[in-house]
Amino acid sequence: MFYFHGISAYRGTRHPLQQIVAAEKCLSGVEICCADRPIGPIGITVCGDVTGAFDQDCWSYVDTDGKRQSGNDHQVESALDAAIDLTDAWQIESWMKSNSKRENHEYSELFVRARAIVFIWIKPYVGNKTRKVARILARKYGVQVIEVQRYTRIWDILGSCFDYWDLAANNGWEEYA
Amino acid sequence: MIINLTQHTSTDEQRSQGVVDLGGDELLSLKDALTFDSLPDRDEIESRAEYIANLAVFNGLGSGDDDPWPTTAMIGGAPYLMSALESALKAHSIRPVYAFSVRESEEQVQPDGSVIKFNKFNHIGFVGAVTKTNHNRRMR
Repeated sequence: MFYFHGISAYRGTRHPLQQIVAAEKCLSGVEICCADRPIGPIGITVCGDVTGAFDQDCWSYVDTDGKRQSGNDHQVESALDAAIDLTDAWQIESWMKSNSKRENHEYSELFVRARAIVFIWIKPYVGNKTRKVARILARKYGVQVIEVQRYTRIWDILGSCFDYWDLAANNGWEEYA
Repeated sequence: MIINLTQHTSTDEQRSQGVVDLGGDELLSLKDALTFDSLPDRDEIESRAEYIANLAVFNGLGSGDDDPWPTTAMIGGAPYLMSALESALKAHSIRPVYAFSVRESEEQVQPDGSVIKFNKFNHIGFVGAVTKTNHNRRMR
């Protein structure tokens, strides 16, 4: 399973250069906040190890060492009540699908240790600078840029834009597919 | 447009040849990225080089929604950074060049017998970064 991560959804990551650095940090082994829908104007879609699942919005912050940390203990505690196996991609996917309600703008969030960037996403309204960031990241990581809508869910993309089984197999991500 | 990615403000001669200086936060970021206070490793050098190359395209010089993409960058600084910076700029299709100047020296003898030496650097032009292909490695 793959997950959306917004690289401009956090305080201090509005400038294009900061967005590029934010994307790099996501692959440094830190836990990042992911969701089944794209949050913010631009982001990355990753595969990796899920370390927490949340039935509501959770958030993270960048500490003084520049590392992203999880926040809001109450939500972390409530996530522990979700009885799913975080190593089972099928369970995570079905849990996210049952938890996400487009009509109420509800979505699932996860903590993920990203292993690879699968594609770059942008919203249709973004300006040229953000599109430039997307192109630079796409070239750096050898992936595509995909335009997504506000209420797009990850399973919509995986079903319509490409065969993610093939994508995973071609890149050695079978264990995350 | 030749973007100035050195710590120094461009000269009149350089500006007349198309060099543009960074300003504001971008200039401060450039100076930070070009300054090493501790021994850097390979990752640090590559990371700084990439950051500076990205700074070249997000240069804050645009008037509207986007910044101009420079064709050329004037670089200079720590020698151990330059090779990585050349590569990072080329990845953005920006040609790295070095300023070439000729030094004119003048010595003035002071009344007390001491000598003060003045150096003036006259900008002559730019030298493109040269990537040497090692043909011998291909030959067996």
